[in-house]
This record gives sequence, structure tokens and C-alpha cells, in this order.
Amino acid sequence: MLVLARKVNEKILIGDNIEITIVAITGDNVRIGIEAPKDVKVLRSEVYEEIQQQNREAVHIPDTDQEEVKGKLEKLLQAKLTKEKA
Amino acid sequence: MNENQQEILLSFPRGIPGFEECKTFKMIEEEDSCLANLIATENNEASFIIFQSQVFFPDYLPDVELAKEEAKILQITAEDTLEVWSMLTLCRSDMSKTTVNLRAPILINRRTGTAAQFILTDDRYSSRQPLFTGLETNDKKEVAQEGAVG
Repeated sequence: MLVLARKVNEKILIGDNIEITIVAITGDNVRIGIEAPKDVKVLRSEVYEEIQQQNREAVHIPDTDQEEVKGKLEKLLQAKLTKEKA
Repeated sequence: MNENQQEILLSFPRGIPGFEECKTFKMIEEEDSCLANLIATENNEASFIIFQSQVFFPDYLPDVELAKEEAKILQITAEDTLEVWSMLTLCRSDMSKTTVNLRAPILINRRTGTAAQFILTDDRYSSRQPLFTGLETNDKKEVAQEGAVG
């Protein structure tokens, strides 16, 4: 890993069109500005972990009560739609 | 499978977060339902209920802005319309506590049979958005009022 030391307002360039600026440092908090083309996705890495965790919790293995579960859900959804239209 | 159901195969070239190794899923849809089952073909443990989120959240993702890389994964051409689905997290003991993951929609290109779960950069969308919050409180209110009358 490349490690660089930077001060506030100093920048790092990555490739031709990504610019990273150290905006502010307060205690152990660093604010970073990122300028990148729209088609480059910038995510805090913990967001990916959050989605991984959410997907694991969302696992729903069809069981014998599958029809019942789906039926209940459909009913609730229908009720919500009706209420919203009213 | 009953006669109202139809099954299609979807390729998820990147898998989905938490199940990166699962690249092929079958999607089982039922007529007149906005719900579907999404089940990995090579792993029974990767099985989900998804739903068409735009039916209930009309303002959700009016134009999906995809990164170039994402558009490439979904093999999008100008004539393709992407379907937006979302993963549900059910609470079996109390179905009204069901949440929906609006932070990471599942986008499907039905023409090519490719799909992907993309994570939105927009912090406003929650990965556990309660689906029936308003409904639950309304129901409780009604019950309370009935009680007062009786």
C-alpha cells in the first residue's frame, strides 16, 4: 500500500480525473473531499459490509408455510396501497 | 410450482453482497403479485423474497443513474428498461415489521437475463426501511378507538 503524508487542503491525484482533498482534520476525524467522474462509484467501505449483513438477515428459505407467509404479506401490502389511495 | 407461477433464470455476474459466489439465481414470479422468490441455483441457503419497490414507493429511483461499469454488467442498450426490485427482510412473528432494502436495489435486465444488486451512494436510502410503519400505527389507533366506544 502506498502511504502518503498530507496536510489540510493538500491534494492527491489518482489517474487523470480523480482528485482527493484533505478538507479538515479534527481530532481523529478526517474530512475528505473527492472529485471523480460520475461513473466512478465512491462508497464508505462499511456500507458494503452493511449490505452484506442485511442480505444475510434477509435469507428466507421457502418452507411448508411459504404460501401462508406470502399471503399475509400480500394482504398487508394491499392494505397499505388501499390506505395510500384513500 | 403452481400454474400461476413462472420461473426465469437470472445471471448475477458479481453475485450479491454476502453471497458473492452465487452467480445464477432463479426468479419465481406469480401472476398479479409484486413479490417474487429469488433463489440461487447452486446454494439453497441463498434464498430471498424480493418485491417491486416502485409500486409502493412511486418516487423511488425515477431515473437509475448507473456507473459505466454497472451498465456494462447489465448489458444495457438504449431500448432496455431496467426493473427495480428490492430485497425484503421478513419478521415471521410479526409481518408488519418487515423491512425493505432501498439502499441496495436489485436491477434486472429481463431481455438479457442479467441482474445485479447495486449499492446507492445516496445516504437517504435505508437498507432497512420499515414497509408498514404507517399502517401499524393506524391499525392500533383504530383498535384503541373501537375500545373506547365499546
